[in-house]
Amino acid sequence: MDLIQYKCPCCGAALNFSGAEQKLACKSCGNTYDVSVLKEVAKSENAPGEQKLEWEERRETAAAKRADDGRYLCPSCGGEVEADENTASTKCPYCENVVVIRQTVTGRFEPDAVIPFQIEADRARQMLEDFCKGKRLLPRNFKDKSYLKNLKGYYVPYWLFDCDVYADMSFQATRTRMWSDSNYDYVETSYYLVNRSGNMRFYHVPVDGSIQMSDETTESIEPFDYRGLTEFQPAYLAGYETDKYDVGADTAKNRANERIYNSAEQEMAGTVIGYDTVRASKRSLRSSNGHISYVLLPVWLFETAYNGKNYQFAINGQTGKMVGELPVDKGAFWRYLFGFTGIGTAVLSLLILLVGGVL
Amino acid sequence: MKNREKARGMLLAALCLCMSLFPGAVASASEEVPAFSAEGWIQDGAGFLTEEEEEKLEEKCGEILSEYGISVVIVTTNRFEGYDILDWERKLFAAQNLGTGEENSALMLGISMAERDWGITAYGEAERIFSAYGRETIGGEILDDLSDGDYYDSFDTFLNMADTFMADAKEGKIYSESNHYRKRINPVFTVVGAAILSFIVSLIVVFSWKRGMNTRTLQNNAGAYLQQGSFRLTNRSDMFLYHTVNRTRKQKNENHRSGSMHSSGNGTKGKF
Repeated sequence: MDLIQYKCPCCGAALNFSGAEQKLACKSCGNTYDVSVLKEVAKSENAPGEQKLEWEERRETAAAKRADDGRYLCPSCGGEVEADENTASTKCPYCENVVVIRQTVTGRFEPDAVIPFQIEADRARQMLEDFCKGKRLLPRNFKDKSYLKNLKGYYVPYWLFDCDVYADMSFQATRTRMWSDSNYDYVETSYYLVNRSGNMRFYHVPVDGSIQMSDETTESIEPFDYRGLTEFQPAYLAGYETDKYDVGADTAKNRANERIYNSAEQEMAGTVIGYDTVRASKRSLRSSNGHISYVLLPVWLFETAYNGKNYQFAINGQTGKMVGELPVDKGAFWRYLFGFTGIGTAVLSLLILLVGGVL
Repeated sequence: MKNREKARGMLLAALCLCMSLFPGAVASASEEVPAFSAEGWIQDGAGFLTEEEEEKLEEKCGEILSEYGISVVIVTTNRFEGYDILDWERKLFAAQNLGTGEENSALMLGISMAERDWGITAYGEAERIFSAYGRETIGGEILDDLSDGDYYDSFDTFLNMADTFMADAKEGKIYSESNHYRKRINPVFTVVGAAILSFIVSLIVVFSWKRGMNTRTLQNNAGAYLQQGSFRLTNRSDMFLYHTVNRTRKQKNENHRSGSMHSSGNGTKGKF
């Protein structure tokens, strides 16, 4: 398995992808490079005549940087890199350089497209910090801001589903008319059978392909702006962690179907107007021209465990939309509840008794 | 508290007087005048109260009498024979000699179910304490319970307010149009009420904070991914099947509650 690092053509230091500039940046010499430029550099390095040497050198380097027991070693410092068979890119804990594991982004694991990070790490940290500000129920250890270190840029593997849906639905609908005479109130209810058929197309319905990510989190940070989708280049992963999918398209499509069919039903029901009540009595939904794409989408992820429960907080790395769940300090919850109750009781009682002339 | 023999003597004397003064009305009025209860001051001819409730109210009447020297009487009847409620009370007062002390002081609440009338009359010293304003204020307080059929509660409120008015009058505070009565606040109820209210408000505040800690929600549909302009309706039909008609008899408004009161002389009356 190859470990790839993007190195600065100028000084040889490791390059990271900069969301702000949409280029690979060198922290050492300050130079920035377009992904296309690096592709050209790679092409020239792989030019005929030199290809064999380069290939040999890479194999030699990869072999040298990989332990016999399957552990992954950083090509820069030789330190052990925490990775498993799903890891596509990760950060070396010793030299902090990012390595890309080629095998998990090639072949059937090669994404069709990627949306590069637009939100920089500093901005993401600031957003998380701002979100945590004023949250009185956060546990005490959140006050020292050390939690910000846990925020990591993460390319989440997503499946995007496209399909045409044909819907054939029946509804039971009622209209109600009311009138009165001097002795009675009358309610007339008219019953209707309403049929609707129609078709529609859904484009890029996302379902995450990662067991690690909860559906609640990944669906909450939607939508992504798909105009930002671009051809996948491993260079985009530089500086961010990435897992290849571990939830297959077959499994993910169940969730996509559920969402698509709900929407189709809502669209059809939206055409049944002029009634007081509408209830779906029969639905037949079929899809065709289905197409599935595998993409990597950018997410700033903050994970923490508190009292045995895992919490996930995420920022859409493209749009900046923030969602998630932060832990609640139960002690603080009860302190505030009873504190406010006590103060409220004292103030209210005093006011009422004063105004009522008792005091 | 009057004793049984004295009461019987007074009742007989009053009835004799009544017969001589109002010979035409005596036949019907004497039928209407409830027999005086020698046990006390609650004459529940309409049978609103249980024995236990009557005893409690009697006890309170006795306490008021011994504290302020003013009789407080509650009389109820089912048959009214078209009398004006206030005239009926006045006749009853005179016939049964219900007043106390030199000034023959008394406060009387009369209830007639015949026309759902209520009336409050005051005599002697009570007439000064319970002005038209005072009687209307008390009437307003008991009206809701009377209308709802909560007779014990309304009588209890009547006695409590009578007690309060008399206690304040003893300290020189007589309620009138220029000196309005304000409801007494129970400090214990106030603190308990404030605690409950504060707890509910605090719960709402703290739970809203807790809700703010989790902003994740599953998306139940894919509406955001419906390609714009791709939706085409290929068939639509709306078929009428049948209709049903439900008929409900209108509720007759049997609530005779009326906020209007009339005061004249020493009495105030209204309907409930």
